Amino acid sequence: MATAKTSIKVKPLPPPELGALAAFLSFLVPGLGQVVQGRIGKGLLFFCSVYALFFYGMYIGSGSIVLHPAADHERPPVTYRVTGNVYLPATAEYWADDPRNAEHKIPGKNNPWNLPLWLANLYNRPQYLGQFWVGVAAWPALYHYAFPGKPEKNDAENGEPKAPSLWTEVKNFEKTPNEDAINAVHTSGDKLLELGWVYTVIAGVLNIMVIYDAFAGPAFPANRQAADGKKEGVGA
Amino acid sequence: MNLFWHLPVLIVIISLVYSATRYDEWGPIFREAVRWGLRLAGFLAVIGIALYLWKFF
Repeated sequence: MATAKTSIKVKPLPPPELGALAAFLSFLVPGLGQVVQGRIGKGLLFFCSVYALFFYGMYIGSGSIVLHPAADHERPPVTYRVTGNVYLPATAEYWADDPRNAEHKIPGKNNPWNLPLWLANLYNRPQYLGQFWVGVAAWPALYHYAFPGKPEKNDAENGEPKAPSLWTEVKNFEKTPNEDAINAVHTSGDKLLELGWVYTVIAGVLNIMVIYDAFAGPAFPANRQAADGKKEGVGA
Repeated sequence: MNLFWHLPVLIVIISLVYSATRYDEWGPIFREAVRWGLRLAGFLAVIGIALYLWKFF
């Protein structure tokens, strides 16, 4: 008695519509590419999930501390604030000629291998390499990197800490905090500040998967799932 | 607040996003997300228990 053979041919799926454009849009705003492709629910899921993780990380990675100068009672307390953990500080410098010996160079600050400055700054703040992929939400850090402006002042020179205005918050969004504030807040805080940047980095890396989903579709498209189900059913 | 209270947010979001990049339908997405959530929670629990026990040696 002959046994029936069942073979199911799975046609390769065409790539999703607008793959490259959708991938770029999902890079800008998580899930936007999927929305343009008509996968609106999934796009909204990506948008809410990635941004929730990113901004939650920024929130738990921020903090402030009021320090009273211990030895100097004349000076008022100072409020040190770190508004977030998404920033790219421009701290590296190129090597300089040693004035004592023309054949030698003095290593630049925070640049032991004399890398291009942008690369050295990324090396010194590698978190931004992950955070960058969250899209436009991480661009203010690039703006502040390109146009550093004046460093943020620590508040409360008059004794009473002031709540920052909305405009100040917007203006300083993802601006590199000054070094005193970073040291004061990190020294007095707990590990939440560290956990915060981990969350923002994971959000950025998750968005790489979202970008790929917009470009190439899901790993298991619907017709392949159906075919797999039929194959499983054949042997039963 | 204990540091570990922040972990569920991470586990839920990673599971959901990862699963949604594998499937397009809600059913498989949520099923896969639950599976991945349990795997992640289990993995983290094993590490947590191992670190807890380590301090006794």
